[in-house]
Amino acid sequence: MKWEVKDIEMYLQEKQYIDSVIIPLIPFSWGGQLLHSVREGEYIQILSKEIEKQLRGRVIMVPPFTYLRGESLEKSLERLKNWENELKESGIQFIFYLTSDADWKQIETQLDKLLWLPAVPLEHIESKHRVKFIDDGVGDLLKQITQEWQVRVQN
Amino acid sequence: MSNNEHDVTRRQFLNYTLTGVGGFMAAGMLMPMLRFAVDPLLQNKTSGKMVAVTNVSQLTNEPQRFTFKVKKVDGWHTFEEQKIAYIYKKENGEILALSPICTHLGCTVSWNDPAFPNEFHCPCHGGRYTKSGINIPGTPPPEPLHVYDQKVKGGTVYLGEDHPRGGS
Ligand code: FES
Repeated sequence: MKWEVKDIEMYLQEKQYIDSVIIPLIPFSWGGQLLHSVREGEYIQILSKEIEKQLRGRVIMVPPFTYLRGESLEKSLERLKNWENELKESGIQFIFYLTSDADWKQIETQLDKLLWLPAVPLEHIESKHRVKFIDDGVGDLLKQITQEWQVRVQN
Repeated sequence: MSNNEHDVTRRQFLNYTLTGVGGFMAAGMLMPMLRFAVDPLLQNKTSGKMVAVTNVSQLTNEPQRFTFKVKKVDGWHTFEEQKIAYIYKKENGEILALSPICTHLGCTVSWNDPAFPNEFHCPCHGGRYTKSGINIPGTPPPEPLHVYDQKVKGGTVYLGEDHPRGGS
């Protein structure tokens, strides 16, 4: 579901079915890293949109968590944990973090479930291949998400 | 003296600009009203159109996944939406084009998942449907998968809007 009133009203009615949230992690910077940051951000937004569409009956896509690229990982994590606590307190069972920023991999174990994949320079790819690239990326992420759902049901 | 002249021209200038701005504001208010009045007409034209999706010769007795694009109007914003259809030929040769949007809460179902052979399966809450899209009792979906309007012309399959169908 999207972060939109119409969808959230549905969530409030069907809470027992919607137990997952995806938080896109998107770095912000200017100067030398500008293009790099924008590319990562754009890629993640495209993927988020597609994943939302496919899993909208169980997942809410929330606004991206943004941070300055120079911000220390501990500090970002601390802020992010506040989001996590807020969600957990309200009964959300699964929190997925979606990012292209490899820094998060260093603290992967401290996060519920990190979904990381490298940003593809889509602007250099022909449009018909672009669709295929995104499809593949999305397919891979869907698998990781549904696997997580299954694993935790069994435990 | 020259001051006075300046005053006049400044006032004139302001007058012109304010009329201009006012005009823009009026247009800004009127245009959407006009759009509201005309919109239904415009929308029918785009949404009633059928889109070429594949060749009949491509179809088999096994549902296959096809994607196609339709123009959508959302407010003043026109965009292309990617749609998915599972199409196959029934025993009697009829073509059936199913929408994979789960009728429970809208996730996208897939065909022939290794764990659920010969069925449509929903990854979200385990909704299941038979090959012809009928929801299997005991799973969350309340009704069958929707069916696309379709027609065949010159060997090409065209799809239109999807509709719910009665009974399960
Ligand atoms: S959305 Fe498909 S079973 Fe719930």
